[in-house]
Amino acid sequence: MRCEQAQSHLSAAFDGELLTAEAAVDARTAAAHASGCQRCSAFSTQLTTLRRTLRYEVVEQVPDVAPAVLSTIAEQRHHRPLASGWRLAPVAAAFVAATVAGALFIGVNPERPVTVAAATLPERIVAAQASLQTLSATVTVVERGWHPRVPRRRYTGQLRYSAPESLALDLRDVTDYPRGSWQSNDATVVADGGRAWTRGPVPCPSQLQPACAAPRPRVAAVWGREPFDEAAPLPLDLVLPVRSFTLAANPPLLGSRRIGGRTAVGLRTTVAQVQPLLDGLRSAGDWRLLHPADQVELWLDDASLVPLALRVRPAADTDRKWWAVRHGYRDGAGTTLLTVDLRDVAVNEPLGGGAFPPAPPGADLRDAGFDDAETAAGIARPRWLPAGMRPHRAGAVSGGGTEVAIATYSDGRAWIKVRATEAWSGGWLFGNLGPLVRAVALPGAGTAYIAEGGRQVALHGTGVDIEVTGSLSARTLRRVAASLGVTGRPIPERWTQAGTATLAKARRTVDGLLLPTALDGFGPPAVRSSRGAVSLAYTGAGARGFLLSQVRGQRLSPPLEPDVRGVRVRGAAGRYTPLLGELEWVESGSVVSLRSQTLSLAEMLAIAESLAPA
Amino acid sequence: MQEPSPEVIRAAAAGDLDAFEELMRAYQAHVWRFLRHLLGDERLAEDVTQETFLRVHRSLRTFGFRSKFSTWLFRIARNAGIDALRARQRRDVMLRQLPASRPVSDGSTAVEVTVALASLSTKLREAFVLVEVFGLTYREAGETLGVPQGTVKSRVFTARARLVTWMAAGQERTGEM
Repeated sequence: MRCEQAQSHLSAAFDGELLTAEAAVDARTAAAHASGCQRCSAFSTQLTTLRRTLRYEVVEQVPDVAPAVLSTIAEQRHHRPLASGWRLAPVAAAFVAATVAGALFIGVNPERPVTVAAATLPERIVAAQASLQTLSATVTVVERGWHPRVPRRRYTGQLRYSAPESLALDLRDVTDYPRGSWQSNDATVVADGGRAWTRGPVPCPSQLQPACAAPRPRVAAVWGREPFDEAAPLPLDLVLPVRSFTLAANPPLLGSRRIGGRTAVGLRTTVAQVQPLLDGLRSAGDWRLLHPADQVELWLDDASLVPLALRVRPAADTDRKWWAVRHGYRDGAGTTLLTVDLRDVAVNEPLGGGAFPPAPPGADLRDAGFDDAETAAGIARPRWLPAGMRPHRAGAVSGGGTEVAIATYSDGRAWIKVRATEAWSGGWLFGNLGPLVRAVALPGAGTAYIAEGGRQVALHGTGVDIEVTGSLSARTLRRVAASLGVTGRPIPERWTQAGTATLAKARRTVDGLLLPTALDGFGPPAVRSSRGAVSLAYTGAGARGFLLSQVRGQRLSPPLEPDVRGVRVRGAAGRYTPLLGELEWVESGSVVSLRSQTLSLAEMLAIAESLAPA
Repeated sequence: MQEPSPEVIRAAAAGDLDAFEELMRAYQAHVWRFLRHLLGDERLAEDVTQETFLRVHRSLRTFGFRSKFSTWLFRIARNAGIDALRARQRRDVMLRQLPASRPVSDGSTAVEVTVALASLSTKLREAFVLVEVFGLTYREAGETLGVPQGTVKSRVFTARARLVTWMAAGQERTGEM
């Protein structure tokens, strides 16, 4: 066999191309030839060098062409006649949640934030709950950019509230739609103690409108609602944005002005932080999406701290522009995407009759399974409650074969809920605490587990498991939990949250454990430590939060997502994965990761810069 | 190279931009790498990668699952690349302007190989890159390039023989290794 012929066979064999018996024989003959031929055996070696060099080359900066391509496609679609269907894809809501925010407080107003007078604002909002008995107001809403053919939608309606858990929001869609059968976005939410109902359009993605407009709205009603049900929360932040401001840092203030005859105090925040309020407004109906980093200007009544006005504008960074392209929005810089105004505001004045009407006939009915009773069997009244708290609804609900007793207490809009069961099957903590919790010692009451920055407290007692939640501070909830006469025990080793550690233990797990310094607007972290890795979960106001993980290691694992960007973090090369909201880098023998679905990259970088060895 | 699920392809073909984006994100690095080798120019490779995905978007509805998605995609990328070469008549320019690619991780060998690769004719280079860099079979590479698999076999071999000669010459020149 001649060398060239042998090398041709070696080449094919090297690619695994031995499809025929003949080829296999050729390959064997060639290998035999090469073993006795210096030139051919060198050729064989070089094949390996070539492949190693080319196939496994390290490509550092692959350009990301996706935004440009999507943008071009969007442009082309806009220039086509719209009758052919503007965009067919329903937007995946999960995808929205997974998108990471852009920079905070950029490009809206360059004036210096005034923080002095705001020092007490979050505390004032939490405290104002007890003083709010009723509220009524007319509401007007303007929504921009929902659909290219309907650049502006307008709504007018009524908001009524009676403490602690009766609320009605009725919005009429008064938009001038173009000709054609566009679906009106009339939306009603009514809750009154154990019963609630909503009326809104049958879901139809804006991209499909007007083709899929249904002639009749959908009405869904529920009775047997658990008090302050977490699964279907009452839009209480609409009347007082407590959730958006417990744990909040002092917001930058905009000063004060008169709105509808009232003195209003303005502050600047983000969509992520006022998510509970926006969710309340949009709990029925079909609305445009907002990005977590979008800028919010919020004006509160100075006396009652009830919201009077709200403006949402797009964040100014690249991630946000990108997100808009992906969802088919064309949000111009500075456009007000959402305007909400409350007028004719009456606080603590009697509401007329029929403020919370029953569900109209023809509603889809559902029983949520809660039975009201005089008292909650098996729950001792807390020996301590904040002054003014009175018993509200109590009773029992059974879910998944577990009977749960519930007692609630309220004062104005403020509420506390104690849930208890004697039949907890275990495996993880009773209640909805999630995997990352913080263990704390309660004075005279053993160990408690705390999640969500203090909004949930769990006790694993002898023969009873308890969860305490509410709209008050973490300290208040802990004090209530400690006064229930139950001693909390450490949870069994095999339960999900058993990896819960203290910061002291975490420091022993990872040498030079990094902790944020000067972190404002987040509660103390929940810590988890297992197999050489430490995770710290920080929760802030509204939907804000982040997870800081550290594990011994010298290099980042291969990226899980194709969309990865190089960034400078603490003077080193790091990696940012927008889809996961994850920032990763290697420092002093540890792989450090910061992860958040609600903070912008700029905010995460600021937290990263603030890290210091504990 | 992983193949996307048929659902994603169908959704993207039906106009679902999220699905299309998923495809782009999964394959843009491969397409760009292929074009970078084919064109010998990173900037141009980026432009042609964009063009490739715009073409993919226009013609996804015609993708009939008769071949692998990656093969089909490379065919479009390759055609877009060849068009770019023709349109800008860059081939000669490119040969005079070597190397356009960035040096890669393991130093001299990689630079040497990249330069050597750029010296091959387009026909040899495209066949070789598909097989060597992306691990396509001769049959798949043949489908992508529209040539019989025997042709792929001989082009890959010729490319290898020239590259090996080039590398050997380089070693003699520098006296290393």
